[in-house]
Amino acid sequence: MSGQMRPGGAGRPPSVCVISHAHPDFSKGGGETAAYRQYQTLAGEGWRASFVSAIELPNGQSPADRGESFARYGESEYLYAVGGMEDDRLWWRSAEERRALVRLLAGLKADVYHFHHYWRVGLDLVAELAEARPDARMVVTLHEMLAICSHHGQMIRTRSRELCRKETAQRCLTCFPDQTLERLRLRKALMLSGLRHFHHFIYPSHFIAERYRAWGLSPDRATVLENYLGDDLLALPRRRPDSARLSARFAFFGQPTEFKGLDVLIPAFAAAVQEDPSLGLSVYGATEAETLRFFPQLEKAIEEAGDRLTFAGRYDAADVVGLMSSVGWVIMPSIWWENSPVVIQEAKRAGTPLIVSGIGGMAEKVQEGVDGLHFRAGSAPDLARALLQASEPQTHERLAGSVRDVIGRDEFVGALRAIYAGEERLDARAA
Amino acid sequence: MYFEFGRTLQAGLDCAGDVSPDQGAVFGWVRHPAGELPELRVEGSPGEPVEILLRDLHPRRDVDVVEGMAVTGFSLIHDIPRQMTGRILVIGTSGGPTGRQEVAVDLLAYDLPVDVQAVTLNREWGATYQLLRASALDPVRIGTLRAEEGPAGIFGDWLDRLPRLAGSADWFMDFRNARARLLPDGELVVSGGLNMPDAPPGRIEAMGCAMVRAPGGAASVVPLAAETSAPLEGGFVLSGIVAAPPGCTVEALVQLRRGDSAWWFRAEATPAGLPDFLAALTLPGIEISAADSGALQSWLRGVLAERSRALHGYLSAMALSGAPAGPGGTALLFDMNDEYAARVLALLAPQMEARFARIVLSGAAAGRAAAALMRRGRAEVAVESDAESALTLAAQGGGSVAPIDTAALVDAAIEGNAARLTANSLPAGSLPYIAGLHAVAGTGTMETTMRRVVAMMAGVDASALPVPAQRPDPIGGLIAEHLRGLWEMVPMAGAPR
Repeated sequence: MSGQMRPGGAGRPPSVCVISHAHPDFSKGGGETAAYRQYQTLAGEGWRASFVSAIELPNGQSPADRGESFARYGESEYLYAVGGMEDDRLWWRSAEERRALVRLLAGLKADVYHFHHYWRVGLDLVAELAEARPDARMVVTLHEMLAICSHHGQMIRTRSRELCRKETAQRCLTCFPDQTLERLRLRKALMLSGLRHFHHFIYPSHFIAERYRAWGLSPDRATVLENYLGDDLLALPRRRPDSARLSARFAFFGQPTEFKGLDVLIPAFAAAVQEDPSLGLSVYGATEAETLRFFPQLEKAIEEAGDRLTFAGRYDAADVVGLMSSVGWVIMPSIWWENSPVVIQEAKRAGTPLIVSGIGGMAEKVQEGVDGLHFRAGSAPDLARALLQASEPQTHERLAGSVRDVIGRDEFVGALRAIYAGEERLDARAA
Repeated sequence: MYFEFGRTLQAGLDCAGDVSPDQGAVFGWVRHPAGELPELRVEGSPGEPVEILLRDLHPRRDVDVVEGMAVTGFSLIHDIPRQMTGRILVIGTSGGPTGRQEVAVDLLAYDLPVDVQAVTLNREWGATYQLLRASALDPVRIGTLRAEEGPAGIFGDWLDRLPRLAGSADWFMDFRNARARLLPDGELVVSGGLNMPDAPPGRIEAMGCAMVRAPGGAASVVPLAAETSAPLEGGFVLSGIVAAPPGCTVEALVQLRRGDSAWWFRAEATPAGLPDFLAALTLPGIEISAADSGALQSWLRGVLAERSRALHGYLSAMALSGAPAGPGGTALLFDMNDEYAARVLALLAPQMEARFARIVLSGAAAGRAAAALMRRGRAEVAVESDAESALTLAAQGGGSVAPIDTAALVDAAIEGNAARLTANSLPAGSLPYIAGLHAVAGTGTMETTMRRVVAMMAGVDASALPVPAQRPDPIGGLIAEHLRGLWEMVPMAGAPR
């Protein structure tokens, strides 16, 4: 498809409908948070903006009290039910419900339909809306790689947890031996055919942009644009950290899930603290019990770390920048690629340098020796080395001084304006 | 009725009657010196022989044999000229140490049975079978199959008594894994493994003919063309070609002899695809001796080579060259089995509609795919239950037809190049070639055949395409080699994949 229109006309901003797979009132994933912040930002700029998001209520209930498949949720916000979708949430089983949603979207008369996912949205809905509104511009931000990889889009081999660097149907078949080559190629054909209905693709990192390019999506209609953290976090003051006080204080922010690398970090910290007992690590987002439930093998390392390791439990997202400002380093030890982690953005907003696995979006967003340190992904000894290196105040001072702030509102909105206007390929702020 | 003509010549006459007003039949046997064959003729009056239309000689194991003698059964079908008043059977021996003998029996002078059909019902089955088979070979000349009693003439009641194999059976008479299969072009095979572990050594001799019953009920008994059987001890494989129009039911009428044992049965042949047919040629699931295995291989090699020779002209004359077609033709999506394929088609709907006026679909997900297209209402859409029906329907529309398999649909979708879908279109008139190709060289279902055609038009080497998994032994190798050879005979061309 080619984007011929110039939405908005001379000077007038285009009207934009942001469509998301979820609403942050109901779930706190990075994609829906970025989508909603975008909507709020555009509305705040005075654009005519609307936000339409999926919701899965208990027992497939409708979000509307008369059973309609969608409901108004605020002045310009709508929730739609996904009970009429297939189980994979990539397609609508009920053509009627899909058509009703298309009618709602088309009726919003947006110049631009900006999607933040296709899961829980439906590739068929995208195609039908594109046909129903041929004059509108269809844009998508691809936050993840579900289209490329059946393993939750993570591009990690299912059996070995080895990082996957390239999609081919044959390789995928070794991850999913119960599938067939034809089925896997059909999946790719489905995804590509659906995504080609978009006029423009936005990627939050060069890493993910390159993965989609290698997979088959044209790079000619793509822009790398960092997610906007939102006005509230951007309004917080940014202080230069006190390296002498904070260089040995580390923190982890996240869930104790399979790929976030907490099982790498804690043994690494336990080893490092044997060499330097002044180190301290705080784990935000998990209690000790939750961590041990997921990683029972960490019991010994936790014991070895002793009182130098603290589990701070859950935290409020609004407090994250403040919490990050209170530590010397934010550690992101994920063993998967991480496309464009919001934790890195938040740390940068706080002015706190990072120690990250040297792969994927983490390696791109944190420059080794500039605003952080890299270690070999999955390697506790190498992370222990990095912790000890980082704990030196002069190292911290040097790197903390190079931490750039995140993308600002004007830059973000300006990039979107250009994308919506169908201007040629942009390379907006990616880090 | 028994006749003793001397120590070296005796006879038994079972019947002397009319098959029709102009043809008579004499059935019986002759005991004669071993090493000789009886000479038999019919005369209207002494010295006035009438034409013998059929003289069939056969073993009669139900008649005692004495030392130095042999027994030969006979069935004579003779002409009855209008002026013929009497009916004399002349029996002679050819000579030898005892010298030539010849005796005459006035058939009207004895109270011999005259109801040919009734006698046929109760004769030794081998005698009846041989007469049946001989009659089938020359039905225009021999009237035994033209009697008024029914389509099988004088054999109708007897055929009703035969054991009947319906397609296949794990156990049938003395045989295991018995099966009868029929290809659309009339190729027939009946096979089975002998389940007589204590039987003395001996090869099974098989022969057959077939009853062909048209959908309206008309039936005829026909011979097997190119009849051949494997020389085995532990089983039998009989094959041949039946002249049977499409839609007919075919029953093989089979005689098997092995030493003193014999079997007669009718076997309704199940219409089959080629792999199933070929499997029946190889006695699958039956343990056979090394000697039998070698014999089967040797026989099979010859049968398949002859089959390849016979099909070469037909296959090499096929015109299956794909060429780009303009808008307005038919898309034939014959293997829409995957839900994802239906989704891909829905996403490509605008491009499909721009290129095709008609879309014919078959496969498990065809209904779902069609619903999405029909809802749009921009192209004529038809769903058929299977690939055969879809092919037939597509051929009826005229114009160009683009056979598109899932792999081709995937290629076009991944490349974002829907023009590829029309790149290898065929004139509708050439689609029957595909059906013909499937009938004689199909390696699986019609879907499989059509996928092979699409792949080969896209430049895939026939030898690289899989053939169905056969038995993993040299016999399986022969089958695979045969199939590959057939496909390599078909000239195909088109835009490469």
